[in-house]
Amino acid sequence: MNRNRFPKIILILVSFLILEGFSIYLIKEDSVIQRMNIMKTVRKTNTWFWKIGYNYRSFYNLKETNTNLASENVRLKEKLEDLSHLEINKPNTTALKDFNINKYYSAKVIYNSSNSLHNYIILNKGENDSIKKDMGVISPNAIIGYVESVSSNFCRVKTIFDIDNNLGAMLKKSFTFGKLNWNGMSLKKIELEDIPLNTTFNIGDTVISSGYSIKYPEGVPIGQVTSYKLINGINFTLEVEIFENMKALRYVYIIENPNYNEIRGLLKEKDYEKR
Amino acid sequence: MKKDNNTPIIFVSVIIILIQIVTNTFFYLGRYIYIAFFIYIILNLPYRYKTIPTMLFAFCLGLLIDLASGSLLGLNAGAAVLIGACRLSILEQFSTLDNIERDSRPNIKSLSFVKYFLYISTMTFLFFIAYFLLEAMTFRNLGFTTLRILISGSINTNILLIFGCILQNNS
Repeated sequence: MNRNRFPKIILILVSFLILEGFSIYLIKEDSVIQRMNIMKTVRKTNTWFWKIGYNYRSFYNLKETNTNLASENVRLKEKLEDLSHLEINKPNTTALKDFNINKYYSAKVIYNSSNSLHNYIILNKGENDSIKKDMGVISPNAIIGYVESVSSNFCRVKTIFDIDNNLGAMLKKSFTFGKLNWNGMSLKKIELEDIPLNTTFNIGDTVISSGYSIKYPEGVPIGQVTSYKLINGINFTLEVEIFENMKALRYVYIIENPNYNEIRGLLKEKDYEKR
Repeated sequence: MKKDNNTPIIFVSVIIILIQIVTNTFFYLGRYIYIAFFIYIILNLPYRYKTIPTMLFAFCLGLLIDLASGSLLGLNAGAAVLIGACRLSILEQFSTLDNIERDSRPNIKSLSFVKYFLYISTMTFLFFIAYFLLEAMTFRNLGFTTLRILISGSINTNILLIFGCILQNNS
């Protein structure tokens, strides 16, 4: 009897491993699958539903949205005031004008996932609005993520609240770099890892983007340090409370780096040389 | 035991799938709670379903939920495959399958309430162990993952038991 059962058990085990292996492949290669046509059709249907939900929510949140926009206007005006005195002794910057000037597109959030360890948002801008994959997304207060996949009228953004999304960040005061990583625990806090032991920092210090990324410009605020812990006696891991309330996120800016393709090409060339 | 009429079961299954998609798409329950109504369909399959067809069915059902609700593709499918693989072995622990008509389904009448509860809770916890470990893809923050498994597992066991009681009473 046992002999008869053995091939059956092997067959079940093999089938289980194939199906489970395929599921893990799908989970790991989610971004590849997003580009498949079947996924695009499904996303189109989902987005249609989310848009209905968005229209309903945005009507009831108009007051809050206006307040946020007004406070952003005040902040921008203050920045303009600060910079206005530079106009007087402005150097000739025509040579620099064509270089590294990022283009910004405003977009509305129509779906915001916050239940998972792989959170994302859907924006109402897509290929028809010149949005491309890998463009950085920021809000007036913090970095949000990057464009993971694009359809004609919408795009899906992988937020910093995805455990697989790491980005470079630094302490504003000391310019010390680290790796920003979400541990999945709270939608307000994120961790800045690999900060060397000799770094001086205080609770309340601001963390900004490092600029060592072709997706985000340098100096975009992220959050402030709320606590820290020593890891293996070698590095600090800082707990950073982000400046943006992800659950109340309504409007964002998508950043187009005009030098993206050129830098990307160089990076690929370098990878090729390594091989 | 009477042979089941499949029409109401198919109708109930479609309703369960729709409820699952709507819940996943529109309700924000936080990262600690995930409601998986659809596993009831797998748990409620007739005894005659062998392990490999059950795994295939569970995989397709999970994939459908993943596709329709915009969650990480393969997550529900992977977790459902595990319970599909374990279903018959676990049922064997709680009942002598030789005495049961192959067309009937696991229910309170055929198993008794305690055994049915044990069957549902074991399968639910197995599903959530696979689901949350696949989602995290790491054993880091194991405390957090365990807490998620315990909270979601307990809530879902209760929901599926209530589901089972209502549907079996009606049938």
